[in-house]
Amino acid sequence: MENQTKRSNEIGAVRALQIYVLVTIVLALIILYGSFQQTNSGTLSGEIYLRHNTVEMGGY
Amino acid sequence: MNPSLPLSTRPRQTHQRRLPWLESVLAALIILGAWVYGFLNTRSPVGPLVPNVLPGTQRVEANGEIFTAYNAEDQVLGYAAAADATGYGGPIYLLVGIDPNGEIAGIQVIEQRETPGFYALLSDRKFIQGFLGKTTDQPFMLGQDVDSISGATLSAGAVAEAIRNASEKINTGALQPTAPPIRFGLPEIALLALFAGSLTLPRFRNTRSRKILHWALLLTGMAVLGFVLNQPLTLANFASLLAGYWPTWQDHLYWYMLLGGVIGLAVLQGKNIYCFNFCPFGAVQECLGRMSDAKPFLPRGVYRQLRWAPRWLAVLALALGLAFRQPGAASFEPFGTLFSFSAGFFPWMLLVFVLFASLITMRPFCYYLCPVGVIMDFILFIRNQVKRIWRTKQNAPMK
Repeated sequence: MENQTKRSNEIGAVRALQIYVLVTIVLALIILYGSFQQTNSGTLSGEIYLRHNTVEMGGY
Repeated sequence: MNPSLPLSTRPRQTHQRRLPWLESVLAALIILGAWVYGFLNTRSPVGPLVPNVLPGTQRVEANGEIFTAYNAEDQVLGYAAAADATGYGGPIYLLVGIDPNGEIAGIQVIEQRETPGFYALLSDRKFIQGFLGKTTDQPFMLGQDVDSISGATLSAGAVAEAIRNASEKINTGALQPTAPPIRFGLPEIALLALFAGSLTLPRFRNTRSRKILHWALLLTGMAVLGFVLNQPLTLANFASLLAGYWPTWQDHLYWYMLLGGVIGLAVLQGKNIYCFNFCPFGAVQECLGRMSDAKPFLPRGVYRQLRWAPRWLAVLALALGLAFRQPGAASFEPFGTLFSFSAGFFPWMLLVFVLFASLITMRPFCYYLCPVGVIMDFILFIRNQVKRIWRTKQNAPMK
């Protein structure tokens, strides 16, 4: 009976550990996705500001 | 092969011996592929835009992230660098042109994904124009040298931050390229002391003395590298190293000492002296674990399986950082969240989750998620394999 309880506790602890790893991995992936999405570059907004004369171009 | 072993265990052992090799080779290939992709695909949109912020430019020379503009007489007209920062609804990505005197000559908004209403407020108040003519040695901080925009504080802060970041790149990389002062102060001294303490730790035979030194190292690392400097070793450091974004050594001695010291000692001595001796985040976890008398939980078999997750997560993050040449974005660790108390919702969630788990089991982040530990394990694995092969060759009979 005692052994069975011990075994059951062990299984529960391992399951909790697996859930912990899964949740942290998912959170880390979300953080990574957010970081790289923020640093996306490519399309031009087109506004140019110069010291002596400011040229404002519409987005293209 | 040992003939005394049961036949059934032989293929399994061979498989288990080969697996780390296969895993390492595959990881190295992915990282190499990402590096090549990043090398071939970076900087392309920014270089041609330099004449927009430095009118009169005839030729542009790229040096890492900094662009040098030359006029028709081939004289330096100025420098340009791009940087981004996140406002309320998205990033604002700017190209900043600076003349040789260090004054901002032009700014181009390359891309912005800010909430339209907030961004419109900046345009209406001519916020970006206010930076023109300012010198790069100014802090560009809202409320100090830059007036805030009521109703769009975060957007204004993002523009100021992007301009500050771009200016800093040019300041350190182009305007003062030859003689920045050598900075050797408290951070470097503390780091040397931590290395020295970690190296002498195994020499202590007395358990009590060893414990005292161990805790002294941990608490110093947590206080200095963590809460005071907020400069622990992160995945971003390794990504920067591989991407070739090396800062000037004179004013970044700390960066070189930390990376060089940890990697160098791993290669020379075969020891990871950072993670369990003075990693500030490890120290925080260990403190919490001691408070609740937590023990490491590494169930046989399961631990080996679960170790795959952080390994491949580290490979993914490193590969993304190299492919997009964004080393900083590769860092998903919650170190900055804890030591600077600033981050988004998900980093806070990860931090709270890890700290709570630290009360139940010892150093859960170190064993099951940390990419720095994964990289150190990889370096030690390669080092030990090379050493083994070398020894085997040395002991092989001459033909």
